[in-house]
Amino acid sequence: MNSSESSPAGAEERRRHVLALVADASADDDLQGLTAALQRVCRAATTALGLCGAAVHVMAESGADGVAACSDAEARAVAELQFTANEGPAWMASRTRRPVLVPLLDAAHDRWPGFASLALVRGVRAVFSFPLQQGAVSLGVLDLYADRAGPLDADGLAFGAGFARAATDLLLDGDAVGRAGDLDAGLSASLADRARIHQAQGMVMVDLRVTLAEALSRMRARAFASDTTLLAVADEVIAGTLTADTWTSGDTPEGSRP
Amino acid sequence: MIGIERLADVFVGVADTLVADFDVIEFLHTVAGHATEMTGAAAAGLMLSDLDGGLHYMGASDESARLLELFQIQHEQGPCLDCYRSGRPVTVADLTTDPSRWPAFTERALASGVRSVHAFPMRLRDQVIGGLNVFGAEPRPLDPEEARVVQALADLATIAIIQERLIRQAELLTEQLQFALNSRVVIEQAKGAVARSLGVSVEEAFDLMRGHARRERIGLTDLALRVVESPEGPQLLRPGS
Repeated sequence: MNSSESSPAGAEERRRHVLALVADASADDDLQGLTAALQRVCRAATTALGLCGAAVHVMAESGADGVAACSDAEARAVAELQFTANEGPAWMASRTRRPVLVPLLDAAHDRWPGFASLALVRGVRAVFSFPLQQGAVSLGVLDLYADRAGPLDADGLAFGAGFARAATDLLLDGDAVGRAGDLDAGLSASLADRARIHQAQGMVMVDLRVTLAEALSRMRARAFASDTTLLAVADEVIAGTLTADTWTSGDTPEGSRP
Repeated sequence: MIGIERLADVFVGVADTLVADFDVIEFLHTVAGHATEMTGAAAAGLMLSDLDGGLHYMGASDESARLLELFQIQHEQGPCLDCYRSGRPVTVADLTTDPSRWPAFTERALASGVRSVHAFPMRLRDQVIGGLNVFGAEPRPLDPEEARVVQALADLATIAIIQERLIRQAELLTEQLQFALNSRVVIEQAKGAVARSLGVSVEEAFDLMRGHARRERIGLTDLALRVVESPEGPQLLRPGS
């Protein structure tokens, strides 16, 4: 890192630069307020750092989480893969409260066998996850996805952290949670996909007479086995095409099949 | 002016209070006490702005300083307010020199035995969050060294307060986010379980849950938690049960 970047004046200048890039970025017409602003952060980061996409996860310490905003639908799909796989750099960044930099996703199979293979199929070659934190408090993660392998340079790292800072400030200032404890309407809509997965999880609990946790594991296993997303499995469950009777194929790990 | 060793003690002490169990009011009283000690002044006080820019009395080394701070806020005049509005130090070696500048404040201050006032802004970048004010019983200018040390104390206090505000805000938000995310999750799970168990749509399941929660006077989230406890949980919602 050169001296101008580590000096306070350089940091201040970068902060302004980041905010200017975010202000110039566009957001989808159907988004407003907080989610529109977060999408601008994702798109500004994508353009400025030459990426293929970016996404903001919000996460609670209990492990509950969701994708609050993304640069485009493809970035959302990659972000959601981490929920499908129950692992990935964003979750590690949230847990360790440190950036998780994966310049070569091909080499990350051991670390996240599920996520790495699914993301590579979607053309992602490198992932950089920055925690959204204030002091010791962690609110979520900014994920940056690149379609070329290789590290972020010093400037890229500083800007990545700058965009994460901008997203954190937006969450803190943006009335993410109303007085009554209700989520911002846009944020709520953005998390709606996940709601279908949770509904399906409740259904599978009843269908298979298993615990909730087991129900989600079975759905994940099925998504892997049939090479589809967790959301697609959830939709099958909700539509009733996947019921107690039809559930037996490809849903359980090899050893546990009857 | 206090000696260098004592000065080091003061700053180390202030820094120590930032580490754990930070209580902002306690901290500000400590800072006010240090400001008096550093300058040999009679009293010191602090004002902080709230989010809307309104000033509030926050802490003082003693009662007379507290009253003077409150008096300025109430009458919207005085050196500390000028300092807060301009973001620059305001220093008055002798209040009797120009009593017309803040007539009401000057009268009150002199009656309380205060002759000199030195007000320091608490600022970060372009944001002024309050002021640290030193009141002297004797007419006396502050020498430049003293002014620098008190300003450094004010700066340290500013950083501590801004940090504390941000952390408090973030903690509150994560708590709310966590609750909102968790209750959403469990309510969706329960909707699915009830829908399947009773053979109704997800929307109908939600209506059933809401009706039940109202009748039983329990929270929707609490009901949802009971529903998803086991595969039999949704039976709770079976009509007539």
